[in-house]
Amino acid sequence: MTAIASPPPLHRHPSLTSSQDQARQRYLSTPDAEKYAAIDRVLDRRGGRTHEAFVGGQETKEFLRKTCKILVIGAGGLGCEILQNLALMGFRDIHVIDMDTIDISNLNRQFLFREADVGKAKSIVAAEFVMKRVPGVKVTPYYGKIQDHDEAYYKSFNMIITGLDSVEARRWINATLVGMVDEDDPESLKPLIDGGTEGFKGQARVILPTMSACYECSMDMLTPPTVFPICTIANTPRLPEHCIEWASVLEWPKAFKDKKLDNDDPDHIEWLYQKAADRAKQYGIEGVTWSLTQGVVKNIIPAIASTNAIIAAACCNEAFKLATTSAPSLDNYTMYVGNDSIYAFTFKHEKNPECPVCGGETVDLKVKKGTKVESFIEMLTENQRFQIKKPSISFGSGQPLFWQAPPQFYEQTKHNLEKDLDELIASGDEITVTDKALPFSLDLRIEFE
Amino acid sequence: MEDSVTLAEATTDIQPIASHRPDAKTRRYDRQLRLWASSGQKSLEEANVLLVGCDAAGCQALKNLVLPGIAQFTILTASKVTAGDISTNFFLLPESLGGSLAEEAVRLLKELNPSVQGHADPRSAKQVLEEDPAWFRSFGLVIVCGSGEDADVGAEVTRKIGKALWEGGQEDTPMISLRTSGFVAKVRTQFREHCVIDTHPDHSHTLRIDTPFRALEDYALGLDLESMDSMEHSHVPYVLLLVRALRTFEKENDGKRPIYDTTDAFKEVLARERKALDEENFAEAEGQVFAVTQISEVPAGVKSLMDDPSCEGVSKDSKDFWLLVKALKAFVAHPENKSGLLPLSASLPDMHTSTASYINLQNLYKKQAMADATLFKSCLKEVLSEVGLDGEAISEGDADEFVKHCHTLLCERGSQPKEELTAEDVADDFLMETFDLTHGVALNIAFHLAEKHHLKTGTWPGTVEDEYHTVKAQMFDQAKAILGMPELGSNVDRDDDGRLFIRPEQDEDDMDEETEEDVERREETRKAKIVQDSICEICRGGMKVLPTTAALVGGLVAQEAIKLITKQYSPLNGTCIVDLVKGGMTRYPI
Repeated sequence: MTAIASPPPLHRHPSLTSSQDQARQRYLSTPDAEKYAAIDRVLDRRGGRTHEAFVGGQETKEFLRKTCKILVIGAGGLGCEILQNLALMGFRDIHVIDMDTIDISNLNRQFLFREADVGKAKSIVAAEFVMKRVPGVKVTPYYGKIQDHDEAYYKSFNMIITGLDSVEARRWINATLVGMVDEDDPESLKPLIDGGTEGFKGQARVILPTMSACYECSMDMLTPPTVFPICTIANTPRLPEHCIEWASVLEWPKAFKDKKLDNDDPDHIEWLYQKAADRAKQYGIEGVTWSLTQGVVKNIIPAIASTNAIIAAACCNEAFKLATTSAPSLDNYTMYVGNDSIYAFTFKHEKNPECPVCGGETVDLKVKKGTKVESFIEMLTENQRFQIKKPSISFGSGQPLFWQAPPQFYEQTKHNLEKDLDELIASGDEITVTDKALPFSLDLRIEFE
Repeated sequence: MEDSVTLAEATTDIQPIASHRPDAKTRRYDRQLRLWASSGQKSLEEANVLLVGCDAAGCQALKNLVLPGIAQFTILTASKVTAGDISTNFFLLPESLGGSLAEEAVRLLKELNPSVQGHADPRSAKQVLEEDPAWFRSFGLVIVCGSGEDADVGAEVTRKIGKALWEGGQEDTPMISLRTSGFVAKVRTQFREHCVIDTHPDHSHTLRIDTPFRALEDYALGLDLESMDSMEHSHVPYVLLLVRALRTFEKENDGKRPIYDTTDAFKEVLARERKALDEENFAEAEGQVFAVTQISEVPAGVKSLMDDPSCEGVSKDSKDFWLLVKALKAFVAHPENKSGLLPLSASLPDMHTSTASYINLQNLYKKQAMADATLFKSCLKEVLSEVGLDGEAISEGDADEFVKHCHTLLCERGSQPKEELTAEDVADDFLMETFDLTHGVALNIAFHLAEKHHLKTGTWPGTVEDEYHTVKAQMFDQAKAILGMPELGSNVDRDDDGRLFIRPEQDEDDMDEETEEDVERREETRKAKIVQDSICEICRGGMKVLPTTAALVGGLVAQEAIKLITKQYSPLNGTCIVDLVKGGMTRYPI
């Protein structure tokens, strides 16, 4: 890794009084060797397992503290911890992206936020807080989506850490980073460190795009989301969750044709809760509560500070090791389980040669002769590997076979739904699948059987 | 658009159901209440935690406890803030330089949650230990910092506090001690006994298909599947299908129940009642055949609790937990409990069936569960009166809660740390057999040796530059002695930096000529390297606290603290070694 950005200027926070600022300057003028004694120990000394290539000393410190530019995606539960850790470890040029605003339910773990911050942009408040607390660090916030940025932007970083709660965003950044790799330009390879938590459990992984297994390689390892069949919701509810789904999926659109359900609006949740509780009462089903209603509708995952601390620290430790080579990198996945004593398991995800993102090959798919295009599409949406909802299909030539949108293409191609797939293409032909959830187009080679 | 209504209009035509819209506090804690519920939250809100010493890892642990809302915390240290503290600890500011470490950290930690009280105690732990060691027991939980950053807490202080807490007897205060050095760390829990009712298992159903209770069996056998229309037929819950098939199978096989080997024969019996291949309830039943071949019994863990001396010898001074276990034992043996099993759980998994028959089945289970709970409570009253306690000494709510979780009870008994380690101590059964030395085992030994070094010299390995290599070499010799492998270092040398290294083996590629001796030697070399690397890593860190290691350890400590305080989930019992060089964690019962 070489220099990309110029060293960040020392940042003076505007809300500091001059005496506080003086104290800050006094602290800043303390020799680095005294301030950073803890970090310098592992940069000045070798460990038994430290790689041969480790230089250590001043050169390594300069890169870490002056040159290295790192991007954090997500300023939520993991993001707050990651920003704190990176700043303390000596990263000085940190950027953070988040599209969310602060909610009161964040305050039990997102420790850079206070009650007065509710409603403000997470990335901006988090950046301000870290700069105020850790002198000398520059945190540049971006309040918006990761998709707002192009390759040149992502190329300007040395590495990227993600603390996200969305599979879709992870897929997007993963595919973008894999797509950026240019074999002739080692600088185009940006390590991606990804963390995730749920309750007392979590995982951290290191992805070296095209070199090691990427996020897409292991899509089939994800736990599939709980889906309640529509017929159960509509006709044979048994669980409180069924009543809640009925209220949100079937009743809400009926009652409010032109108003979208807003998961964050308590009045909307209240309406769903009343509807669901009423239905549950009719059927003699127990257990519909406000909290469950909110949990089901928003798909809430329990989250606590301590688990985020563990996973974020594991991720930042990897970032530090990558930036300094002071110890070998995680190879390449570790999972942590804290509810039953302490248990951690580290293993290596192998690259999937058929990975639609980094495998670089067309995916082979066997389809029964006589399968209608409509059921073929259903097949695709049910395949755990692809995780798509409303795919459009094109012929190998790029011509539309069936497109969900725009409307004129939908009208032109919808008659194909009724046809057998083998009427339209021959065995061995390739088709291209695109979907909103897919940050890339998926090439399939269809083999009829 | 015409038939779209406003929110108010749409809401008025529903029967009013009392709203339980959460208040601000519930909303703040929503994501954690979904884990430990209001009972766990109540315990947290009563908890009083002491942090002895103050470094980044300790403050990170407190942060993770202040956020979910413990009642109060105290930081005990006489140390003053250094530049090194500020650069590693997020809860200090540049203007804290030279001030009281306890006061500065408390001030910034308190900001995290206005409902938590924080106290700074600027005395030294040594002084308190001399004047009033029992003071430590006035807290609900004690966390002892363990980097070399806060000179106020060394290996001796940790040991003495552990002893002071242990001497509280059955009323001991649990302790979590930590030690960090660069990329590696150690967390240890100490408590005499920790009993958990709600361990949060993945599920808590007890379907009892193999030994159906009377009402379930009668209901299942009374169904007339023949006369059902296809709709009804395809919606008979699989539980009932299995109970029916089980009885038929037994009748046809001289009363023998299906076992693993006769699963196929049992499936045939089950299939006889199937009318169509697409009946999902039958598909579910087939998938659950193991529930018939597995015999319901009192879980081994619970059985051992019922045979525990603490259960046998209950008295009015016993913990509620043991009185409840004693009552559970009485329930199992009670003549009215025909199953000889634990109380039935009222919970039922979702299954393919109609609303009415699901609710029907659920009610059968609920009714039996309630009957079991009632019998259990009468057993409890008897136990309470036998030991001379009031029948209401344990509330009905607590008894119900116990019954709900009685299949997965847990009692952990802890220990004090060993003063001297031996080979047996550092190697669990698996390790003894193959003697496969891992970095976790070796790091545990290395931490132990570092503590011994500190006890003897008052300095931590890796802190005095002049002694850096000699201390490493000394520790290496001591580790070899502990492992009982004096010849371990026969092929170990030093490089130009004075680092220990293993002399490369000759003819390593020449596998043909490799004798058993060579293999053994190579294995020893490998082990020696692991021991050397581990000692090297601890000395390298010099008991300084890396912010990332501190954050990770702070997370681990807080999770353990939450488990100990809420008495939910299973805590760590013993030592956990964190190796962030490779990214692993290993735990040991010592």
